[in-house]
Amino acid sequence: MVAMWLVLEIIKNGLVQGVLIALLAISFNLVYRTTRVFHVALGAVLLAGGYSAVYFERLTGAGIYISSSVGLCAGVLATFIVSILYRYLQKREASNSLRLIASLGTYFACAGAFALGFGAGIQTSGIGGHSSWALGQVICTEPDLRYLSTGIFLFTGLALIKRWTGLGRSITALASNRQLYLVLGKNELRLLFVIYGIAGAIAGLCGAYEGLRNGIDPYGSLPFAITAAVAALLGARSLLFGPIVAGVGLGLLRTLTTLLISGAWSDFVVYGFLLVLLCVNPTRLLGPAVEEERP
Amino acid sequence: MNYLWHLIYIASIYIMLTKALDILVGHLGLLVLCQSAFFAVGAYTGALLMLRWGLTFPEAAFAAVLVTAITTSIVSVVASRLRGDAVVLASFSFLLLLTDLLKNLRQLTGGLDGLAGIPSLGTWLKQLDSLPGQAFFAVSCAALTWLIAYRFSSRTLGRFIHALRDDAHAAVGLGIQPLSVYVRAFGFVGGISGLAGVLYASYATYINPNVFGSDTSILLISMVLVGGASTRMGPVLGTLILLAIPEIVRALGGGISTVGAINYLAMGVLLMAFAAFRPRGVLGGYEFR
Repeated sequence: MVAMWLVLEIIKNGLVQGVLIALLAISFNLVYRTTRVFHVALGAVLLAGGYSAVYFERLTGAGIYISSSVGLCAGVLATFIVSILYRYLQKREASNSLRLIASLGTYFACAGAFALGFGAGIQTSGIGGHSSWALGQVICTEPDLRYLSTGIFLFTGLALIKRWTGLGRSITALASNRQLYLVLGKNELRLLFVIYGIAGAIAGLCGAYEGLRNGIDPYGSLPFAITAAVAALLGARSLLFGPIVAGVGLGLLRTLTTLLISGAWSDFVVYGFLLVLLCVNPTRLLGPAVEEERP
Repeated sequence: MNYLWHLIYIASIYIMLTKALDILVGHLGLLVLCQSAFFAVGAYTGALLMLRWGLTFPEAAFAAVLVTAITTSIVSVVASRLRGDAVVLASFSFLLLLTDLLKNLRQLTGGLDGLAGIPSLGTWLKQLDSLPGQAFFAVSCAALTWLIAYRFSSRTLGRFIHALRDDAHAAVGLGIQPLSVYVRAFGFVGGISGLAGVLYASYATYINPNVFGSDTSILLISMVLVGGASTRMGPVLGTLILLAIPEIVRALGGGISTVGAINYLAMGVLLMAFAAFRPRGVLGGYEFR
């Protein structure tokens, strides 16, 4: 019989992990669904957000929120830089595979550049001694609450934008049918500029949070990008709701694995789960927007 | 001089791996990111058989080729159902799954500590006790791989593979069975990768899961793409270019971390340049559609 407080602790940890995965999945999905680029360079955006927040905090001693804002801005800037390459490839009518290769190259080039500039080790901020609160026997730390509140705020905000604003409807339209969007005389470039901005801001903020909490190293962000891609594809049926559910689900699955088996097997379970789903029904998993024609 | 022989040995193993990978990437048109997983299966199978069961190198190599070919054939069943980004994600997931297995099955694989004391080629054949002898042996294996891969891609099966890559609907309409072609192509790639793996294990006499991580897979695919996929010499050229970069940095006095960082940077820049300016690679091979 598992104690009730342990179940609540697992749910809390799963939610915290899940919120991070879900936010990154939304960032990935916004770029992927509107440009069809398998946005592995999300790892590079995370690095930009993480390093700028950590170094800004170290140099100025600014608090978490100002440092995170710097990370957010760095994420936006990094995504805009990456988007120049994507735009160039789109103009040349490069295939999706070529764009994926370019995105992968961007990640590796950035990781190498950060390793050269800041060293291969983990860089940590000077922020320590987080406050924590006990809700019964469940311990909730300040970063936990920050992740959860940011997640709830962003999920709600993005859902409202998607449902009630012209911007949200335009993003949905572009993600659903680019040709139709262009035929109707809409300005794709302007919309993509906004999409890259939102995606970069989310990823930069996640990078900053992770960097300020656990430290950041140049070679560690690819697994985050891949897990985000997994969540985005698991929830590919919708632009926003799918990645949120898939991200939180993956977070819970990981913590559950940690409890029942061991933390060392959590990646194995996540990727095994994805492979099984891909084997069972690859077309439904990837959804109509990303499925390619098969014989 | 010994270092040169070492480089020749390593380059030969990489050429075997890239020539095999080119069958999937260049000829079949699949962006497979798990070549280092196939390499790992061969290396661990060979190493375990030599260490635990006392098999000689040829026996272990034969078993490694067989086991890796069977593993890749199973992977091919999944791959034949997928296209585009799904192949990338599935293959990368398979790689992460396998490296996680290697890290966690400590009783069998030694976990992160790896397997040490693997018998070298010299224990099987006295002539292969020296570094030049081992290097010649590896070069012979690489040359043989190149020849077999060339024959493989220019025969009937090769034409079937090209037909599936260029127009899968028409190929199926003409009676080509995709699954059968995939199983044979992946099986071939597995066989070569398994041999490369056991050659590496015997040479290094120590292996651990980090050798076969995602970096190695991306490096291998970069070599194929930069050189020119689906060309005779493209993967060889790409291998030599990407292996030369860290050596040049090392010669200029770079430390281990600098070499690693520049390796990443060079790999990234070359991949971006390849996608943006030279999608057919240096030797003008297959362009992804």
